[in-house]
Amino acid sequence: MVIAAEALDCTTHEPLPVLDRSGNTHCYNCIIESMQTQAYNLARRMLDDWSLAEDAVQESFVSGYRAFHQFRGDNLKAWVMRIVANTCRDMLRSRKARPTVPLDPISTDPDDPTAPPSAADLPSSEESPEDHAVREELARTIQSGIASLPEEQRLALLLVDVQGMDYEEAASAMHCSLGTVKSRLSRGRGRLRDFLRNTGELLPDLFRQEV
Amino acid sequence: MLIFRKGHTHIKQDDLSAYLDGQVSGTDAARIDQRLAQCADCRQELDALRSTVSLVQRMPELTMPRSFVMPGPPPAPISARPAAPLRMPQWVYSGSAAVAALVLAVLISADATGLLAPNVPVRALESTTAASVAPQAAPESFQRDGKEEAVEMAAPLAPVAELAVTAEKGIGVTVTQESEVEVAAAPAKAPTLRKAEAAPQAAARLEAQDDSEAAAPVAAMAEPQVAEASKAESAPPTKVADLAYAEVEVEVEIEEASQAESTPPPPIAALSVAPDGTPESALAVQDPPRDVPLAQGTSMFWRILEGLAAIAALAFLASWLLRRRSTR
Repeated sequence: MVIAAEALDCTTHEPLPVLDRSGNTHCYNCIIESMQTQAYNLARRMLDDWSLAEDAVQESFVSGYRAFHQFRGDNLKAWVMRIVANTCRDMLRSRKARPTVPLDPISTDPDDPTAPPSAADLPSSEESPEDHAVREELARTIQSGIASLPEEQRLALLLVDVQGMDYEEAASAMHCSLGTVKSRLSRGRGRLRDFLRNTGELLPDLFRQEV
Repeated sequence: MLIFRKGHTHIKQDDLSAYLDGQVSGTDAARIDQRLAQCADCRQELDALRSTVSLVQRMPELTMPRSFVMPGPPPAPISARPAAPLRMPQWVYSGSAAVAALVLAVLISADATGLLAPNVPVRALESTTAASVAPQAAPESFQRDGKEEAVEMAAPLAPVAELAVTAEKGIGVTVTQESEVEVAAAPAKAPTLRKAEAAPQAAARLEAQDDSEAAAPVAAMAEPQVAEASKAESAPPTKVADLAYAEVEVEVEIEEASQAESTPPPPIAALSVAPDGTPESALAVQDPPRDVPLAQGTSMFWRILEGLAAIAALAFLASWLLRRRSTR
């Protein structure tokens, strides 16, 4: 995804011109706009913490701006995801070194405006409250299953299954070989399958029959 | 690509996962299809994996709390690290601390053994007699009012001297009283007694205390000493001045004797002669306190060097510890 120089006269934001390695001009704010949702989703699922995820995305875009001259102009998504993944790794490491405890339990009341955005926030005009509750519970279970995976397996699963990247893109974002992506993804899927088998009645029929 | 173990032909999980994503080559895909058609377990495994993947893929997309678009270029990063010249490896700090501590230890031990004293040779001093020491202290006090000088010299040591005197039953005279009293042989007797008792030998001490007859030879001991000291002077002083000088001499002896308690005991042979009251014994007891000028003889240069070495050792040690703590 290469943004031409004329895209710098954008209307929704301040133009922020950056040069890549081959001298092409891009508008960095355009790149942010096109990538921020995926970046936030990856960080949120990786860190399992909405406030940390916000910091991680902000930090990733700032360090991406400073390192943009290293971007070769080939695969922007893989490049941005690699920065986000690296930031998340650093944050996980520092959180492991200095664990934090929230001062107050986080409110899960959907009517509370101060509550963090829920993992199952979706426009749900057409579904019944029961369906919504079931779906939200399922999403929470899956998220805790993902959070229980080892860091690299979680990253591979998120990049391929959630972000929809192919193996080459994932390998570029994870800075590893294709075979490594394949085995990490396979092991992550297997672990998650076992986790979903061992948990609950709220899961689809296939798991309920097996349990 | 496929696992064919003995009695077991299930497809490897890696291949099933890649097969789901269409990431296997055509021939491998055909073999997996064939195996799946034969093995119900493999089919079930594939279904479970597929359901898991589809559940994950159907997870709702999370909404962002805010837009991350930047209002302007971000500020340049602020480096939290110190400037390059100050960033040295840790062994520099620990090594410098060790060297500084070593220098400090050497300086202190050299100071304690008197090597740093610039102008007082140790051996030469030990071989001198008391007669040569006495004129050193005497003339200055002699030129001024001898009595006042004696009180001044005795003042810092008054508590020690008083304690020593009050411990004696036979002689209840303190140093201050003694300097006020008209100069006589009696006051001179008491400090001399004390000087003899400063030696660790307790038996000799008791004998000297209780025996009133023993006081007489001791008084006799003080007098020849004064006579000897006055002989060392070229011009013999008057009678009153002589007595005042005797008192000064006695005060110096008090000082030296009380310091002798803290310094290593003198040779036993010299002390054992002391209760006899001979002039030689008085001279012999005066030998050990000659180390006194040594402590004051160390030059200021070495003192400052010692202090600097101590400060350097502490500073390097502290910085080394701080760096170790911060790198953890």
